[in-house]
Amino acid sequence: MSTSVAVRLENIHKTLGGRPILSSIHLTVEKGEFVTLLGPSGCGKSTTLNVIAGFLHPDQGEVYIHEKKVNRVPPYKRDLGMVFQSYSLFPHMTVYSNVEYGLKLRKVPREERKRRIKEALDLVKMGEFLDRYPRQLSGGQRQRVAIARALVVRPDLMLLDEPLSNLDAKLRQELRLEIKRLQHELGVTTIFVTHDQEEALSMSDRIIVMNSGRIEQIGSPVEIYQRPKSEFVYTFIGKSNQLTGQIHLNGNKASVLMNGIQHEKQDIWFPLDKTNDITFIQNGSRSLIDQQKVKVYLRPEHIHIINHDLKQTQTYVLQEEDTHWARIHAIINQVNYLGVQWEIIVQSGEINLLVQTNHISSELTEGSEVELRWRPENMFIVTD
Amino acid sequence: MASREHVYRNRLNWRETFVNFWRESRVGLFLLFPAFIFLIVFFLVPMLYIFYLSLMISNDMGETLRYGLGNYLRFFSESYYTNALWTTIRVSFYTTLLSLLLAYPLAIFLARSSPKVRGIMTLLIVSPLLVSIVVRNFGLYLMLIPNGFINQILIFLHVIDEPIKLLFTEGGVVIGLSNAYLPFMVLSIATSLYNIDPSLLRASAILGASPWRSFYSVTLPLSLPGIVAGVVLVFSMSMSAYVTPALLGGANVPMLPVVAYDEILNLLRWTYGSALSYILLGTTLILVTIFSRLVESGRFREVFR
Repeated sequence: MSTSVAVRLENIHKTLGGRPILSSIHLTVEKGEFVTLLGPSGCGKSTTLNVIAGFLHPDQGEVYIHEKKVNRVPPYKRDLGMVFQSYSLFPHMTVYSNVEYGLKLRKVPREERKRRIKEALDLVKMGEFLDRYPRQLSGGQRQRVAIARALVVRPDLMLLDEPLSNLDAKLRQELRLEIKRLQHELGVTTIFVTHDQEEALSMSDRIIVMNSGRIEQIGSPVEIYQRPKSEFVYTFIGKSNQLTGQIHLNGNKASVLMNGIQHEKQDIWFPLDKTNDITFIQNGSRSLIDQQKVKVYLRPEHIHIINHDLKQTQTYVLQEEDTHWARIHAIINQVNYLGVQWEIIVQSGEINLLVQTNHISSELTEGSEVELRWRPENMFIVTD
Repeated sequence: MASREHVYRNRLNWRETFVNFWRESRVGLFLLFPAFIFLIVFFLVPMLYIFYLSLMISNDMGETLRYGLGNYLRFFSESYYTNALWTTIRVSFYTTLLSLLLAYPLAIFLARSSPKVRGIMTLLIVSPLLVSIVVRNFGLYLMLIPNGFINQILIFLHVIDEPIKLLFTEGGVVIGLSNAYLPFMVLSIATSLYNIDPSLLRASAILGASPWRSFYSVTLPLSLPGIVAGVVLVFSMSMSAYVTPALLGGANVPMLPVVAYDEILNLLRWTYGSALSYILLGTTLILVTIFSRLVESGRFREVFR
């Protein structure tokens, strides 16, 4: 039991109206950490936050804040900071009074209040708006004030409940950087709830991916993206192509036959020599079985397009030995330019694949015949 | 030349403005029209006529002597009438206060309920309005009489030794009026409570406010528009109530509407009765205006924007 733990949830269960909302949630948040609860709506991430805040009582399990059990402590005695999706500024109070509210409740003397309010508002660049009412502010400004209001009481723990979801894209980006900067500067332990994977990946020290009331995976952004532990995590974060296939075992060698993909009128097998590197998720049986049906996922950025006709390389990878690559023939169906990159839809046999690339030869247009290559270890294989 | 052109252009602009106005608002004007005519014919005209009557000074035979403010001056020189006005204001004040105190908790209950419970409760709250006010007051009359239900219960519980006087007292009238106007107060307050974002209370709590403190600092100020609406509504209706004061107050509680009714229909002093109505109307308007101005320009004026 080290003292560096800010929040600890032990075996939390919660049912609402007969429906399980949270089941066996275990998690710890270290002091000073920025942790994100990520998941689709209804996955229980906000419920988890509300359990920590004390607005919801778990049916089972223990909540510890700074190693003190707080199950029976009401929210107003937990000494936390919280920012809401709907800003939740008091509409009948000026910016100044909004920020002052928490300080008044803590009986901070008037002069110190004044100083700290100014300080907190300057921190979020709202120092010029003391006398405004929330109604007179834009969404981004309101959320800045809400952040100042939460920070001014110097909470040990900040809870952010989708604070950026009501803002437009540009402002969201701006405030995202701002929140990260503040968190870094003040070192306040922060739990952030979002359904936006980009926010989660860019802001967090650790991400907790949740799905239907359970924790799917806990890990750093890189771990979550590159080494997803479940099919859900793989498909929820980033884009992916889903294919089906069949496992073929031959001695020590394994290969996979992908349904629908044909190579010069022949089904093709992808060697799985480097079995260690390939991410297998096995539901049920532990080892591979011959003829086993599998789902195969492939990230669009892992597929490389080779301009077949011109024998021209698209990427440096071609200089490596060809045997390390899975190769198929395809036809370009659609080329979409997205600014930073292209999204290309290619067809091979009956299968459509999405490919993302940063550079593309101008000769490639709809109807071009190309070769696709990817590293077998980039395939994410899920057994049925 | 230039100025002439300017004038011409100006006139054109006026015309254009008018045409545009007509184009944009004709649907609205058509929608407004029937009610507008109805109110002019059946509200404004009678009101003006009564005002005209109130300025007429006549003898007891009903003959018009002259015009002037005599009726109004007479009101303020006879203590019976000024006392009636005071009684009216006092009873209305207590009625408003009592219904506010009864309504607020009920409105909070409504605001916290699920939509289903809210619907059923709202129906229950307004259901007394479906029963005729005369019938309701008669029921109340039987409750308040010396050997009525309330006195019997209180004697049975040894709260009192002998019947207390409830009927034909101001207290009885206040009970009757509050009971009649409670639904208006409840619904006014509940409506403004529904509009309060529940996350404001969570924000208040997480900042360290106990539920009581949150109520005092957040819920109460934000429900002020509903309180003002309810107070204005109930106070105005109490000031002009007739049936309840007549039945439950009788001659002991002479409220102005009852007095005016008496003057007009029993004593046939049409002109004086008309003046009484206008004094009642004026007093109500002044008090209601002062009250709402005071609240709306007070500390929480932002709530009313």
